[in-house]
Amino acid sequence: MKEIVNIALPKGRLGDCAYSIFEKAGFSCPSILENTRRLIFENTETEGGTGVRYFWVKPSDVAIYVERGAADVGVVGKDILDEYLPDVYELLDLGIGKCRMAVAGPKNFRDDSSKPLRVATKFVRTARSYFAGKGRDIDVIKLNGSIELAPILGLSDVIVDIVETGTTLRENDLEVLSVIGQISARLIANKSGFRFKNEGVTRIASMIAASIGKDGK
Amino acid sequence: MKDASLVLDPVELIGCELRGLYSAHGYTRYRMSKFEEYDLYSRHKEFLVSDGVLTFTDTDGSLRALKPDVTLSIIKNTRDREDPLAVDKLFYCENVYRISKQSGEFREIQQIGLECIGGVDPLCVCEIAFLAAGSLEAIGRPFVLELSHTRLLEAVADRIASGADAEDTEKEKLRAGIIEAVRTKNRSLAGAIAESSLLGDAGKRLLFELTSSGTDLCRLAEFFKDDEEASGYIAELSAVAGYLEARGMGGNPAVDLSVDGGADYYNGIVFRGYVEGVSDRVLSGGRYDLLMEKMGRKGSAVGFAVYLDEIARLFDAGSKIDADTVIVYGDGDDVGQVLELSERMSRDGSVYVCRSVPDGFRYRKLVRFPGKAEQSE
Repeated sequence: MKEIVNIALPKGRLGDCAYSIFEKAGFSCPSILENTRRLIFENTETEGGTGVRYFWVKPSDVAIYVERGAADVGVVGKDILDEYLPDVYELLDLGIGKCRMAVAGPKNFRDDSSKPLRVATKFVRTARSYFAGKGRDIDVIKLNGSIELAPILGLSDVIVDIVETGTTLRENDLEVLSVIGQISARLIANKSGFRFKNEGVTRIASMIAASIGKDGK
Repeated sequence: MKDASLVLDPVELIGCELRGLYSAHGYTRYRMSKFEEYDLYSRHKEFLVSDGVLTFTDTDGSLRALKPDVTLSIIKNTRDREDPLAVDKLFYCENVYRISKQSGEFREIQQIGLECIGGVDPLCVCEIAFLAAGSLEAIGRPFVLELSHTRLLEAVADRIASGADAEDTEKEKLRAGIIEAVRTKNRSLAGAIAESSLLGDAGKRLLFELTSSGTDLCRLAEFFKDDEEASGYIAELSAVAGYLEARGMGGNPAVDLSVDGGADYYNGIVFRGYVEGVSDRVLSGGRYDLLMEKMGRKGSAVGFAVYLDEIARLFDAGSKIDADTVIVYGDGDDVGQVLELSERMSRDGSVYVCRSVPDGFRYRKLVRFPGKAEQSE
């Protein structure tokens, strides 16, 4: 039986972009574009030579599917990788979904170092690690969404969150205070799947790399 | 005695086979308590695989722990031999208690493993590697045993970084970046490092090679031909790989510097084993002389553990029947005769005796006492 590589794609705009990259590299699956409520899409005869099975997954769950072997490869943001540290191979930077992980707060914010800094964020580990590196004591407030509200309503002093254009911040009189790191979508692989489906996984990675001009050559 | 395969599940059978394999090679079983002094783990936290230790206060007021690790206990509870060439060859079947990375909760993990302690020499390492491969083979699925060497990866990073046109602090970051790129097979990071740090061509090529599928020992030997220490590490890996190939281990082992042993106490050769159908490693181990030294022991040590819980997922209980034969009896049936029939029929398989068959109960044959079989599945 021909090898099929299971691929977890994040639902939403990032996943649509990621699928386009796979398609361009020769791993199309036309049925994925149909208006249907199906969750799994398969093409055993791709141009790229490796069978593929795609499924849409909540973006923050892609790394779990890959780490636990339900998917052989997946597309996930570097923010998720840095936050949850899944035990996976990070094969390629796809160069899409580019944004920044940043500390943001009210314009002209002044940090009072005599008190712990209250930081609202979805990314607790990332925030703790960043401020530990600065030697700054913080009080983390874990939120699940609309993080920008927190400093406006006095719940926190600053936030640690993803920033794309910065429009949301600006329109709420917030600004980027410091950039923690650059984020983009990554192609990740399960370590066991990488070994047992090595031909298929490495073919996908190398053809995508060549297609987006990142084959190191 | 009944055929073990009728009463043991597949994982138990594999456990028995592994015990037989280890015993046949002169390893003796080491039994230990479930509990250990908590102090052992608090003093060696850096060597634990996961954060968090399950503790309790014993009746004498001492703080104890449910073991998160077996190796630390074995080193603590065995003694140095007078003869420096002597080795203790021990195997264990123990449960450990660790926080699961996925769930964030404590889990009981069943593992079987080996430790070779004392005058460990290249023969001991080859034997351990062979037993690691044999352990994976016993599971009965395609497997991969991978080898690496922690010091060789450090030597690669040192060499590539030292050749870069950068300040010392930048070289240190570069070194850490190279190790991360190789460990995670991150070609993008490797590319970024190569572009930003003005590495030499040899360094760039090697970095890209190491972030692809495997590690070519011949290429590494060429790269380190003037480095005696690194050449020694490569020779160690070559010896083990060559021995396993000579023993017909079908394409195993694979040498891959991305492999780490899974715990910080490995310093030298490390193993990691995968079985097709299991998403995580089922075997990990390596050489841990550094831990021996830290715990005040003389000599060297090497070992590995097989994670039986991971293997359990391979065996689907979905198609399993609950009993071969069901005997249904009624009020007034002679108890002795019913049990005698059950005893007779149990020679050919499992028997479930009842007055009413439970819903969903799966069986091959149904017997209504005292009659013949009515139906079979």
